[in-house]
Amino acid sequence: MKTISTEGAMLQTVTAAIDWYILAPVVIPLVTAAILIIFRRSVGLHPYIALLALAGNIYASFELLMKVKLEGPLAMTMGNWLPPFGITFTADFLGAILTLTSSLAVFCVALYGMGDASSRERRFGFYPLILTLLVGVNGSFLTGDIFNLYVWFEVFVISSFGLIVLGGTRKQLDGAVKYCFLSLIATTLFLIATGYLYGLYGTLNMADLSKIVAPLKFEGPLVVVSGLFLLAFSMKAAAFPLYFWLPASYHTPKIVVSALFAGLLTKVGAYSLLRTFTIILPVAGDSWLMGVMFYVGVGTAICGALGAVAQTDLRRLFSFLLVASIGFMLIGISIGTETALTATIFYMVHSILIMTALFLVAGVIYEHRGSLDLRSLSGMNKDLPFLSLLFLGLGFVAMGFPPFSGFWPKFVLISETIKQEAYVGTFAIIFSSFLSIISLGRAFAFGFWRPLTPNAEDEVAAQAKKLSVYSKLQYLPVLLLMILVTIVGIAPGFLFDLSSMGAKGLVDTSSYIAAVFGGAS
Amino acid sequence: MNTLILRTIVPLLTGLMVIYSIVVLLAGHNDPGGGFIGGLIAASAFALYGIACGVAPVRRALYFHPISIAAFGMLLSALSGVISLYKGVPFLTGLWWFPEIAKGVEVPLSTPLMFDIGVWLVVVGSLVTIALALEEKE
Repeated sequence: MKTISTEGAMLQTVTAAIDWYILAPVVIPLVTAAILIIFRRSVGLHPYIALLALAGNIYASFELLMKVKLEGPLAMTMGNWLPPFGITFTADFLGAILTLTSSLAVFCVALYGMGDASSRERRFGFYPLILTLLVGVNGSFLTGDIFNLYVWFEVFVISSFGLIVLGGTRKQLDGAVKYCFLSLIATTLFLIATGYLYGLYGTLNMADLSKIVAPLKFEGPLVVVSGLFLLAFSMKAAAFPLYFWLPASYHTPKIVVSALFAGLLTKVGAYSLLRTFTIILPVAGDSWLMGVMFYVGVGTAICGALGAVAQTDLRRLFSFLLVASIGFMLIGISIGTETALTATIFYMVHSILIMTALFLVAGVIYEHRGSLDLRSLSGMNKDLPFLSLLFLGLGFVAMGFPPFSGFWPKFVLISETIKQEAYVGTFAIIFSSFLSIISLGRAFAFGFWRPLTPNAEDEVAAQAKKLSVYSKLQYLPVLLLMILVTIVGIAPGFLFDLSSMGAKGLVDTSSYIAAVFGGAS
Repeated sequence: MNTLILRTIVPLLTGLMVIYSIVVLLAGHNDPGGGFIGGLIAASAFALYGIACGVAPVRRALYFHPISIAAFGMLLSALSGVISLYKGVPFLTGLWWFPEIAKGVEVPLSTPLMFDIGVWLVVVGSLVTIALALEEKE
């Protein structure tokens, strides 16, 4: 047998076991999901196994973040190949922070699912599906290869298809069709753009692309590719004018499922935009295309908040607030200075936590009242004082009142728009926040302050009888998230440091490239 | 489809197809073939058996639920990558092992083979699930 010299193609150094933290957020949920499907009949055990794995996942993501904080971006190329030929996983601050946050959010969702997902739904794969969804989301945050990013998109999109039809009522299928149709178009556009990109530059490794594209002018095919990426990711992120699918589908699945979607899925779209227009295509990040994205962001922020004011269904209201929050992120990305990116990353973390919490609190309300319609909800401050307090607190977080986590990124973003003389953005953020105060205030006034309407009394009494032993447990994940956002709000320094380091890594791509190719190149 | 000819020939054919699918699976490392295409052949064998003899005999013959088979394949493939953790090489690196089963007869075993068997199981499991669900509706 002829021996082939692999020196030029393979990594010759030993990979330390500690580097495996970069893969743990993907491998742990994947293996756990497989085990849960194998034992699909013992649904009673599913929540415990899943929660254990998710707790391990949080630990691993935290260790990864700490490692990145100590040593800078971390990379591992699969199969012992050298980049750009092997598929690289690259964890920079941005990826590591978002991985930790999404793992936290999924843990809370799984905890909520203990009381909410029936054994039939568990047999249909509730826990395996939320785990594979986390696999896809974490994979997207950590991958350093743009085609691989597409694959992770597919992983979480397919899991979300499974979750959205869980239960299989007519209304759910209606929402699922809209959701699936738009997801498929968006991912197909993403794939086309990726193919085009490969045709142009012959590589899909993000760090490699960054090196190749950086000295180029923003013209010709690069404009088309960047435009396609902007379109595809904006669709996934639910940006103006392509956000209609989100409020049309997010109120149909199980509440715990919509909490998961609201927390994670749109943020992956926003993350991809952030990644694409900073590290992968830095020239596109300095071009007129950012002007387009800026106005898309302004439109998203304002239309989302306007939509929220008009809703009577609590989940649709939250869906529109989610759209508005995406608008803030787009404004931040399009301004693109280090401060704006810091605020964007901070806001993404805040948004993952608060959106999950808002939808879960809607679930708690549904548990107690059997409805989420603001026209019939009433008098909850009388019999559910703790829930009222929680809702009010979460409302304050979402509106961006100090001392909660929503205040700081908004404050920084507003001051940065003023500094960059992007006054339209300043206006959009303030106006949108103002409208969200109105819509959430209205929800509180109707659902909690308004005395119990006479014909609702029987309904409430009937619903109270149906409460399971788990109904107290439902508060726990919401409370957990509430504590998290409060801590972040009171002591924002920690997250701010991390976000600003993340932003620094996006503005100056050298550390990212060095992590993949080694210090020499 | 309840014809005598089909019912007589299909059990034999199914066995042949499954054996062939395993040949394709094992050939896959150096020649055309592999877990995916082998899995498709095996899945069509079980689907054919279902068409000829009904869904219940197929489920009995498989013993495990097809979805569990697919999940086991997923587990196998994922773990084939994790093995490289102990060798200090990156995820999914191909590792080889040549046990000598008889004098001078070496059997090359590897993590790519384990990965491929996982893929084979995933394809068989998921496609048989779909095929049986469709055949049951009739």
